[in-house]
Amino acid sequence: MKARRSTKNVLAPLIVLVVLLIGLELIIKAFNISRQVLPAPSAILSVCAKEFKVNIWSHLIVTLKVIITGFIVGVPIGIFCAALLSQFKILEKAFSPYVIMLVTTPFIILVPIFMLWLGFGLNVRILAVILQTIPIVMLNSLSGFNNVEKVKLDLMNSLGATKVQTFIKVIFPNALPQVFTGIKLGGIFSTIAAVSAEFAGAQTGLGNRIMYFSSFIETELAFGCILIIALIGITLFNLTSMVERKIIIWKK
Amino acid sequence: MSNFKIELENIEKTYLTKNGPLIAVTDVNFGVEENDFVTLVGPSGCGKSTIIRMLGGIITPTKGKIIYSGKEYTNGIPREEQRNLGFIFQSHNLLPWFTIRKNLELPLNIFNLTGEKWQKSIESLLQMVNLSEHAESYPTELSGGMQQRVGVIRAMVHNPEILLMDEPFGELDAINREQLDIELLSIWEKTKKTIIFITHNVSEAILLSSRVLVMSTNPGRIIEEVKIDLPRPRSLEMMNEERFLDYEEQITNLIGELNLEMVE
Repeated sequence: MKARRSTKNVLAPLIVLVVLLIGLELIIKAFNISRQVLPAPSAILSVCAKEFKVNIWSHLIVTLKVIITGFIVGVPIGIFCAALLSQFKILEKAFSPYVIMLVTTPFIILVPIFMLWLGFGLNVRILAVILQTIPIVMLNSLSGFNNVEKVKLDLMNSLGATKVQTFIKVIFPNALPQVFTGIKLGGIFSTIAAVSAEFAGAQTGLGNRIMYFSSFIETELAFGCILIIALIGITLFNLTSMVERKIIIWKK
Repeated sequence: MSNFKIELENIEKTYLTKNGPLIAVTDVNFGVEENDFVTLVGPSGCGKSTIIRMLGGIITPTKGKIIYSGKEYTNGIPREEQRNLGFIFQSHNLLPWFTIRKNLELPLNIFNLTGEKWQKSIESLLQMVNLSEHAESYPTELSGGMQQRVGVIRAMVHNPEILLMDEPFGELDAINREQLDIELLSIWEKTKKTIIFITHNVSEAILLSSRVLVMSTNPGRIIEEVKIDLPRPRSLEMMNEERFLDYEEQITNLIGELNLEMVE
């Protein structure tokens, strides 16, 4: 039963993809659309396969490094800050308006300023990813930490538990579903931030390659890079979901 | 010097609400002797939960003092005293992310009780309620009655002298509730804990306790104490005896009068 469901989960979106690709291919061929406007899926695949080693691989590694470093640093900081805010109401009152502000701030607009401080290396982009990831993880975790059944807190009070004990035994595990929502969104935000930062100013990375290939009207390669970025986002999301299912085993 | 295990003196609890202060309970005075089984019964809103939550140290009285084994507390129950209490909630209140065993270990962890002796206490309690083979299950995998049994023994793993029970079987159906009442009585006979039990079910109160404290609303207070002179061990068959029904009528009338008062 379970196996059949998971095959369905993989098969259904795959069918959509195949239908979409064949449809696009047919439309492009039928209306004779120029490759400068929209390259055919088959052309994207064949050109990218040929050029992958020389023109894409090293940039993919750079972008992955930025996303993963930023994600791994940003997620725990976001959870930790949310924990602090949830346990000290005065901090929450003082900071929560700014958290929402930070969620909506596109940090790529600050990339040129960061460059003045940190130079042109990867660190600028990693910083942009971290700053974009922290607030969204924080916002979701915070709503989880604040959303505890009162009767569970009463239980801990009846045992004379300390604040730390209550947080570890009740508040944190209770909030895990929302924390994971935050982490999943954090993965998406990390990907967007990394590529945007590469747009704003970088000589390497997939974001930079999209601009570079576009300027030479290498539309197949440009679209190829866009698809690879989408694939990174999906993979990060699914990996997090997998970890979530392994950890939250009590909810079935 | 009284020989009460638990004593409440002039206890009052006031909540601050939007419409000003609201007196939840006032002028609460009673004592419970060691090994006694006392029930508080009354309509909803009479503050019976407030009283037991103050006894458990979950909330602090606004006025008055609580005396445990001769020690007076006016400003809430400290942690050292909570070590002697076991609180049982209306819902089973198990933590869904822990297995049954982990749930039972919770009080031991909080009170820093380590060692073989305490693990054995978990095993024997599980055996007592026939749930040994469910130790590694998660709470959602158990039936309502089983969950509530675990909720009861969780309050006993640290071997407290006093059990505070806040409508513990209120969410169960009548058959399950009566069965758990009988199991509770046999646990009480064996362990000789001091028990304060809250319920809105009059016959449950009579079946279990040696004294029933009847409460009223607006403001919440104790209006009458009814001594239950039925032999022990008690059984469900007693519920059809004349004496039992007399008690039931007496207490229901007391509560009924209250309800009339409320209508006026």
